[in-house]
Amino acid sequence: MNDEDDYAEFVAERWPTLVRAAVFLGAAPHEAEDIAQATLVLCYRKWDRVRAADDRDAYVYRMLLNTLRSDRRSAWWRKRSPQALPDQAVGDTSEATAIADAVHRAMETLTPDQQHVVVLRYFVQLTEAQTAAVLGIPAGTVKSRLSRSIAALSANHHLAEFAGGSR
Amino acid sequence: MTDLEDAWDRYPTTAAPVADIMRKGRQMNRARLARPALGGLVAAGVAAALVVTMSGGGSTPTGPAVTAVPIQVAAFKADLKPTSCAQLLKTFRQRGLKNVSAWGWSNGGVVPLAAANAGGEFFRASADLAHNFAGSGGIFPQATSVGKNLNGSLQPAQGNSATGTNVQELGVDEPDSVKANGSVLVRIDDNTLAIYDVAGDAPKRVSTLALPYFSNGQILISGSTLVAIGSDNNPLNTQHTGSRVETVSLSNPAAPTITSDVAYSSTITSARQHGSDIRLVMTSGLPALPFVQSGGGTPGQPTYTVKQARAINRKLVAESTLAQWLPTMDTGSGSKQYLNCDDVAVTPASVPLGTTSVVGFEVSAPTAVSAIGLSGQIDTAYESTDHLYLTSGGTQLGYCSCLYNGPFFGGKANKTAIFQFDLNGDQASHVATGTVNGSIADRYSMDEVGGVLRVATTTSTDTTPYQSSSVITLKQVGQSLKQDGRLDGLGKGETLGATRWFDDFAVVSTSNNIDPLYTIDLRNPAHPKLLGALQIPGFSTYFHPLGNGLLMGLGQNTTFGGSGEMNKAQAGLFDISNLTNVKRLAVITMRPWTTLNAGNDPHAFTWLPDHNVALTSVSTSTGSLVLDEIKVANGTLHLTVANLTTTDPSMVRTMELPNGKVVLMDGGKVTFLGL
Repeated sequence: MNDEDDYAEFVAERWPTLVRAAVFLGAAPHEAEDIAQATLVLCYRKWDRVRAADDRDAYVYRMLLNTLRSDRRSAWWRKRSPQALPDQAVGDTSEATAIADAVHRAMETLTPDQQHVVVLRYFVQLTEAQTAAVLGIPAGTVKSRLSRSIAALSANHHLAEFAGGSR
Repeated sequence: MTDLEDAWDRYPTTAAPVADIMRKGRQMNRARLARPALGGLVAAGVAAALVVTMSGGGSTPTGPAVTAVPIQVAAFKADLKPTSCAQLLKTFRQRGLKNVSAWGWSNGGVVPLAAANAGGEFFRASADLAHNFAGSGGIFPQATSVGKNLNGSLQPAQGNSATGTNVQELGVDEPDSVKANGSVLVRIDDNTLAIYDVAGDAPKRVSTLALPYFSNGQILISGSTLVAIGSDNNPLNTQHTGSRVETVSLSNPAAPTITSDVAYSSTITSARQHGSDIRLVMTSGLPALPFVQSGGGTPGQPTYTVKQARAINRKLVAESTLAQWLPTMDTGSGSKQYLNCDDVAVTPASVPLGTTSVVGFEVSAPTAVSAIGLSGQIDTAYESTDHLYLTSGGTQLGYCSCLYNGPFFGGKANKTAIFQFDLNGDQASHVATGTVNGSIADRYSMDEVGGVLRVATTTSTDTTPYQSSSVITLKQVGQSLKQDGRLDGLGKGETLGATRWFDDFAVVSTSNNIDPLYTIDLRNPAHPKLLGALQIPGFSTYFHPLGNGLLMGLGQNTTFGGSGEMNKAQAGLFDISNLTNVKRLAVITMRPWTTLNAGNDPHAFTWLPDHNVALTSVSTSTGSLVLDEIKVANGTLHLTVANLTTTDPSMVRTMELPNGKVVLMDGGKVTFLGL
């Protein structure tokens, strides 16, 4: 299998999770796909490096966080995504928007650090070690941050108690 | 199932745009998304994405009446002869028909993704030192090329522009978020200018000014005139591709006034300033025609079969008008076409369809523009003191046979077209056209000295190791840019990392964990010669000449282990006095998961020759930023790190003022740095 095939498969597989992660990390629906796409474009360019990495997912989610950050600093030479135009909404974007709004309201109760941990560890289901590598923090911090975040979300009835397992 | 978990599962995602991602990956460093005709090969995911983009947002064919403003100079000397209006329209329609599908434009109509598109201006760093005599290194004699001794220690340090920006070409200023002129310093944050008096002990803000219908601004300063360039935010501009150019008088810094306000319908790809002349390179993609799409999905529209939709869309293209293809400007009295159709040259068919305009004006008369155009979209603009070079193409299509299997992807050699323009004040005229094999990563990959254009290209092949880089020299011969010499085989299987051009030699790095740093003799342009290759861990994304035979290389050090790879920002000090034996004198490595922003944006870097200090912002793993102060002394590097408050790398700038004070802009804070 050559590099291109390998990468195409990787993209198709990771796409839905990356888009959802971007939404959960605060991106609007039209931004989320752009960000996921930009992330995967970056990864394409560094595929040799991504592939060489022991852990591809840690690498890709690191890139996603970087892209989210850099997306928020707009510069004049960066064009707006045409999908952002309200009069071009088609299909199920209204459903996506409604879900994203609800998600953002819920996630707003967390600090950005907590949001990162919850999204990567709980929703994307990276391992503790992967999450630690992505965020550049010790594994112990991932654990403690996650439990505080879950507690906060549970208190607001957005999530069931993680440890207790009661739903 | 709780609501968040439910939301995670229910959130609708489209099919992965695999083909699009792969294509953009190959074009990563290009300013403009511009792919050749795909014919019927567009994968389903791409078509789905195009539906969203192209439907519904089209302008009606009966837009405001468009009249042409007179152009001062229409100058074509080369083979791309301007055509008649009728011929130009015929070209647009005929070429357009090859690009239209049952879902609208099948390619080229997509505005590029933000992150994939910063390429032309600042994406990667390598830079240029040709004819840079004004650096702190003092007088550097005009190059006489052949026969001259090659001595890296004769090279001066790279200086900053008169307004304090670390530019590619001295004498050609570049827009940035902060500029200084004498005792006045101006910064822009989106649409708001803040003006500071920097003559005293501390910077003092004396005024602010919000620019209307304006966003994502950058500024240029000429005398007491400021030119702000940004996106057009006017809600009436439904295309969201337009730009605004505001001129502001700073004669009274306490009361800045807008003296001119011009809206353009196209997107600014590049802006440069020579003295009081400003030149904009603007690109318009394919026009937003009111296309329909097969399969319905748009409220209020009937459901069309593929055949019906294609027929309707083809008719729209066949009946399109020049007003829909040519960009417009509005100085306050309505939209006007600023390119006469006989000032628009038809490009070779390999150049993606669209309109590129080169618009020049004197800062005192921003509405009196000189403009010429090309009937295609360009990717990269490089401006030397005498010439403007626009490039198009160079897509690395060659080795992909997995996703596409049509004729276009059968291993066709990738070529980049280069258009050379003579510059004279605010006027540009097209003088020559050339083609090179391979792709040109960004503007820093090009450099002109003594009438010779040198370019670093990356060529992909069908066979492992897939790609390698070359240095090519080109000279104008009649109406052509012809290859004079070349050196191939640099960095087999690797990516071009950074290039720094000197009059007589070049330093090129390619990267794949190990960084071969190549030195190339360019004294005889017909025979570029490899002088040496230094293998060092990590790779460079930016080189800055410090003078006295020293070169600073900024980049990354990548190690593997634990739960993945580890990236650390790294700065190296190189002795280039002996170009056949370059030595790394010192290296400092920063914390894990740090990135030196100079690699992405050379404007984030400042060399202070009087202090022997380099300043650059560094992104950390948490997204916060720090300022690295790297002191160079006796062949060693000493690092001091200070925290910054902003998390936006484009809002961190440092510069040395004429009075020797060093300014730090940290988001909204402007302070003097004690060094």
